[in-house]
Amino acid sequence: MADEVTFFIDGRPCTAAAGDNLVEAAADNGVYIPTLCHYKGHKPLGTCRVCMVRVDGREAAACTFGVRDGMRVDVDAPELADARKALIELLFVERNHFCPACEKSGRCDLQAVAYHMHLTVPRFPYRYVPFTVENFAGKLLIDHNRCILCGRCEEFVRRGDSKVFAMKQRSSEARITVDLALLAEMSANEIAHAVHVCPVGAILAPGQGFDTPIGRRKYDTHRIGEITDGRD
Amino acid sequence: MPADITAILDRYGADRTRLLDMLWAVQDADGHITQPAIEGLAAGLSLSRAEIEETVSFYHFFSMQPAGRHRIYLNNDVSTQLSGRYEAVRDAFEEACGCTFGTVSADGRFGLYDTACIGMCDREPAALIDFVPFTDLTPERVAKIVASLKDGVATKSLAAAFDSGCDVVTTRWQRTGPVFDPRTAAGPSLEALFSLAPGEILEAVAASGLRGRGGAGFSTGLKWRLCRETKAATRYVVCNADEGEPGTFKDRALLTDMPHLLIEGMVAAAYAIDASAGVIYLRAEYRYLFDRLDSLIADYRKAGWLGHNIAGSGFDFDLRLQLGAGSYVCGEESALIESMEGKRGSPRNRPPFPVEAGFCGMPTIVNNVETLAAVPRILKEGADWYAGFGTEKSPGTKLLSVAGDCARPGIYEVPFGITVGEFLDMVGAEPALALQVSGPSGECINAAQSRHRRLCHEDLSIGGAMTVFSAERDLLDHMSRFLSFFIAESCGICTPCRSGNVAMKTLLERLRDGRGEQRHLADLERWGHIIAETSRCGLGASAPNPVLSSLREFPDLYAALVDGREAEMFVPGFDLDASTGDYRRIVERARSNGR
Repeated sequence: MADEVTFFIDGRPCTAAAGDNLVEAAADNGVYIPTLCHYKGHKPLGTCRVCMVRVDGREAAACTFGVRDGMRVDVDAPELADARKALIELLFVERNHFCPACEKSGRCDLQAVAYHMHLTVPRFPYRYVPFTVENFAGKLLIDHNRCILCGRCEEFVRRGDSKVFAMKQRSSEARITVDLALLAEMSANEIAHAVHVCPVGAILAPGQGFDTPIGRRKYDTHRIGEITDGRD
Repeated sequence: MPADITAILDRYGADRTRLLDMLWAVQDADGHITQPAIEGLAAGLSLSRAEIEETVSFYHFFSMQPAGRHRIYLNNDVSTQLSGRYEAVRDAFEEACGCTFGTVSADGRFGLYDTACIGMCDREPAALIDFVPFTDLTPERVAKIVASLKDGVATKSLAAAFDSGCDVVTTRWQRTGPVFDPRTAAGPSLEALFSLAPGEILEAVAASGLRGRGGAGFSTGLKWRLCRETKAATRYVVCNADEGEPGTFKDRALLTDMPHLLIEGMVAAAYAIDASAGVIYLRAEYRYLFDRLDSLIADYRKAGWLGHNIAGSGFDFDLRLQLGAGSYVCGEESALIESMEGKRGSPRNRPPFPVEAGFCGMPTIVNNVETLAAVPRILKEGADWYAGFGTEKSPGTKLLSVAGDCARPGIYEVPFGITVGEFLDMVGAEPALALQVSGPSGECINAAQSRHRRLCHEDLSIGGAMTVFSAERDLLDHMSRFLSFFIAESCGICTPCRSGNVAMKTLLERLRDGRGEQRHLADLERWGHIIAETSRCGLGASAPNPVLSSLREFPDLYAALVDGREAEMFVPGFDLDASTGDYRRIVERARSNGR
């Protein structure tokens, strides 16, 4: 690499090409910085703020920074870890995230980051606001209970130059919506891509649940349908 | 008559950045933004419908449903609460219009809406009716106004009858100063400008020490130089006339009484940084000033001070107005640029800063009205003259918008560095409980304990709003209202601002309801710091300030909320092992007994 530079994560020297995305450069150097809105290799969104670190003494969303020579990054400091955890908690209390009932359970980034952070119960009060599930012409589902408003669908799912997904309203009224005319033109592959772009279970393809049945019925004394000798 | 979409598209050259103008044109013709209009604009601009709708739905003053032939927006900000007549005026509107706030009357004639600060804080209660301001409202005036509207009197002529015969709101100049004085402000004086080299203007502005007057206080000279040094095909000068900080109305005073200073400041800025175009982004709440400003710009153009080859200098620069559509966060410079491009007003990630990549990716300076208006005065009187006022790190003077519990509300020009005590005496605010410095995004300070503190960047930064609270006020109620304001105005794209401030508000209300505990005070502080540190822009970073500063300045008010309720009343968390210990011991004992 022509302009490889040295930067520091928690005091440890690391190397990357100048301008490399800090989240990805950290990963290349063996340091995981949690993210939700970051979509590897794409332009940073800086919306979820979960990658909060300190760059040269100032709080910053790591995904929005490029590596510079001599840059000093704090990741591990307890107050930063606590702030990152607080952001995950704020997402959990804001909508209704019931992991056991979610088709993305096991493949969901929010769930994975929460486990990584040993989240047990959020410090913030649950909002308990019911949200709708929208079925768009039988081609796409949006479950607003699970949306984290990261903006990935808006930014990375396009037809030509046009946005397929858009954000309506603002503040805690903000909702993701889809353009029906563009949706009508989308192929099954494009819809699968949209489902993949969503880091949680908010965007789903109808008729698709789990790839395999999850778990086992470990307390069954016998399998249903199994012929027994009449005893229970 | 339905809006002629083709004509509207033509008028704005089917330019996507002019979407806000096109939406205003549709709404003015149709009363609201109709679905056919959205389809027509989407087709004409090669955008998806969803992209048009996301812009429409972001702004407070755009509506996708019929919103009443007369739209009445009553300010519900803190300064109107302090007027003592707010509730009565609100009731009077509901009674006269026959509908409640947030709804349209059955005959479709009136729509009543709440709105945040409309910049009339020294004349509250105030409302915008069809975007014409009506100030100093009483229940009787409301009844008369609504009756006249029912009789078919035009809103504008009605306003003229109510505000001493003019169609603008008269400024209460309580104290003019050396920089801004409506009586001595001269007319056009641009000849001298072009006898200087652009570099000399940059030097003069830098030498004056002028700092951004929107509140952040960034060096104007440095901002201009950074922009000038960015190589680009073109550059832009933007005036931030989106004066949305609740309690602020000093830019309204300048836009009303000395708008030529602003235009000349923009020409000077453009010449200094070599910009080709300028935009004044005017908040929708000040729409009533649009035509006056527009015709003043036309006068300058006619006189040869705007346009091609200005005064034979070979320099080209032109200027236009951009009307906002109701969004506080658009006062943040990168959000303002997004809005100028016809998009939602969500702040951008930075870097890059606007001086590197701003409007349409080109280097752009965004300056406050007061900052730009000071420039012609600096160029005329000299940088040393200007730097002779104020303090070392805050040279010059500052306009203050004063409202709330004081004898003399209005506009004051003061040198930076005056003390809080001098300020309170000047405005007749004794005894005051608290002073909200620079609006909700600033600080709430304890008036009695802060008399020695100074209003300047070295101590208490001043953006323009100064709201006084007397001892009778329920201060925490007002802090809670400020928090509600930030919650409503959050653009919604970043987690801490969107969700965190709701959590703060819930906890503050719990405490105010008497259901809080001692530990919640520490939680409020910690949550506030997390939101401030992790938010994407200045709105999120300052949203916890009303709570954080009042916690610091008025600890007794908060202590009183949890008085007598000790932490041991409730054990947060649940220790499964400890709680089931008895059961486990019994089972173990039973096992060891061989049962």
